[in-house]
Amino acid sequence: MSARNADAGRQGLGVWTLVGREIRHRKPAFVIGLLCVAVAIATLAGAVTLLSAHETRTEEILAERERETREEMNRLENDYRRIMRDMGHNVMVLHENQSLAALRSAGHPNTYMPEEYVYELATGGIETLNHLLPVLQERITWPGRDLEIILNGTPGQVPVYHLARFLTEDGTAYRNPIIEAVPEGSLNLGHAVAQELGLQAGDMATLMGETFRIHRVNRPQGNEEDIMVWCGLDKAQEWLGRKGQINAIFALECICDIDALGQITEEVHGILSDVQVLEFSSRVIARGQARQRAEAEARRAIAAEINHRQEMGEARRAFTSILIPVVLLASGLWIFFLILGNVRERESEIGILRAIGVTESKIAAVFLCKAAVLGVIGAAIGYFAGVTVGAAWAGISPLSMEFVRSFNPLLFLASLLVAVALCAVSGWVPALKASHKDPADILREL
Amino acid sequence: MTHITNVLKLTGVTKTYHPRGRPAVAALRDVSLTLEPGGFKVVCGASGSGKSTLLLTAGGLLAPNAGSVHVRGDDIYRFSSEARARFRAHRIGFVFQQFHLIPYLNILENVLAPTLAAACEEAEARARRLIDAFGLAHRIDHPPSELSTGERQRVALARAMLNEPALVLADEPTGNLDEDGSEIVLQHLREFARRGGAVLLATHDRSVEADERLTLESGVLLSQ
Ligand SMILES: Nc1ncnc2c1ncn2[C@@H]1O[C@H](COP(=O)(O)OP(=O)(O)OP(=O)(O)O)[C@@H](O)[C@H]1O
Ligand SMILES: [Mg+2]
Repeated sequence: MSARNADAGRQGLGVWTLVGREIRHRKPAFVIGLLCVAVAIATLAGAVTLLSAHETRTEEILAERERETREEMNRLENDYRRIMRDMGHNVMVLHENQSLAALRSAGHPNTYMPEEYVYELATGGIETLNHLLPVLQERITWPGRDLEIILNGTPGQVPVYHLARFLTEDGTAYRNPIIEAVPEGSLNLGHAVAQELGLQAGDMATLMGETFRIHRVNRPQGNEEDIMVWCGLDKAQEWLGRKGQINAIFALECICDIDALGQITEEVHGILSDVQVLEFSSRVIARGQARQRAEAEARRAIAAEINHRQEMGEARRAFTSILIPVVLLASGLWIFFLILGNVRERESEIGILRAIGVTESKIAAVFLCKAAVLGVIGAAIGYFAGVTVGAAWAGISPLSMEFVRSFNPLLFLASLLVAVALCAVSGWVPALKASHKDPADILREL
Repeated sequence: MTHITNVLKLTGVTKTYHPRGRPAVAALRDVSLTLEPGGFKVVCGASGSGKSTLLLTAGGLLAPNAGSVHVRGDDIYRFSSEARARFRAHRIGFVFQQFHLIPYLNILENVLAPTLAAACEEAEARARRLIDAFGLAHRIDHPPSELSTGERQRVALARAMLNEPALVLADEPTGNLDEDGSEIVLQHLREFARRGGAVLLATHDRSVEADERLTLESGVLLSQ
């Protein structure tokens, strides 16, 4: 016997067989029903896919912008550090009696402080200054060469011991000094001095009757530094007759606190009362401000981007929050009328089934089962169509992994549930109407 | 239960239709009749005399306004409509002038349709035997639309007999058939009665032979 006979079953005919045969018999009507469910579910799945793709995309874009900004900030910061180092110190601690006019005209301070001041600062718990460089500067003539230089004696950087970030791991040595001490028995020369004297690093030179090795020649700076000669602090003190004295303490300020001069002054005064604090190197300040402006600009750009994408997401959400109920309602009504039409068409069938003893609940079950079939198949079609269209709309290529990831099993399950619920709710009234038909009325009419 | 010997017993059945907005129509007036196992009764009557109303009432599909209907001793209108449906599935077979086959089921499935209501053992084997007996074996997986009217009526007959009912109610089963076709159907009904079933057949055709012929005239049953 053919398969068609065999699946009628040994026990007889089942509801599902009846439903399947009827669907096959009235294919066009069923296809229209499927289309209707599919459109509803496609709208739903498409909207959800579009919205979640939008959210994912937003997160990606923002992460990207965030990363770009961070990179840019790092670049600026490194620039800044380099410039700071190249240009020298940006805070100068001088004796309070130091005249600024004299400082400018001489090119170096001419009022002196005890050398101990720098150690008081270094051990006084100061927070705002990182690197302290005590110097004794004075303008002299290189003996025998008729060359004006600024002699610059320094012991090298004095560590601020309590700032752990400037110490090596074991806490004993000073890490990475920005200005090294001039080694014993040698000199560092400003670019102009070296040029004038025809000296290079490694050469020997005589100053104040002593012979020194040239340790380093600095790059040209275009300011007083070009005519400076660096030596050990004790040598300068000896030659200049200023035992135990210095006339300036330079400090590299912490670069993140560019606007903190007031704070620095206050802190320094807490330790040393008879000094003044001067800020200089305006290019550094300008650079720092530029960096802050750039950062603010980048933050504003990110905020604008977030805002724009939020507005876009909001608009899409608002649109779908209207679209989805409208589509669900419309397709619900459509399914209602389709099933109602189907009930009309099948009145004689219902009558005869009732006459041969099929109960009302079974008649209702036949119609509800058909609605369920409509829901499940319609949901499957609608889900795949919706996700595809939604993903395409969100700009996801159908060949990408992201497209594959757009297929969310939870959303599929939800689509099935919504579709079956939609069909069950829309099919309920017609199914009850069908089951309540008076078979006598139907049979007499025929 | 004194009347348990009757398959069908109508006592003083009155059915009046009350169409909305139109005068009431008395379709059956105080109709009483009995049918024993093996009985074959024919109800004749002009169009509109109440034949269909009588069969629907007897089959538990149309509640009378007065009187009672007993099938195998059960007062069927005392049952709930669901219980009455199940009762019909087991005890009563219907055959109609228009056959009322289900268009999308093949012959075998149409004959098996009563199993939707009451699944039973060996239903398919019995269906095949019936189809064979009605000479339709070669048409078993055809849809009704591919059958002649006579063949369709035989399918309807096979369907009515699948659950081996006690009572077959046939409303103009030969109305759409030629003489030969009618004769085949009537033979099968008589055969069913001979095997102990009871048949109540309504027709306007006075030539149909029966154990007992009853006449309906404007809802009143006259014995001849
Ligand atoms: N639903 C109804 N509402 C009102 N009147 C009805 C209804 N059904 C039947 N009738 C009336 O009841 C009477 C009996 O109808 P019924 O269908 O039983 O006649 P019938 O003998 O089967 O006729 P036919 O031979 O033409 O089939 C008729 O006068 C008919 O008009
Ligand atoms: Mg009639």
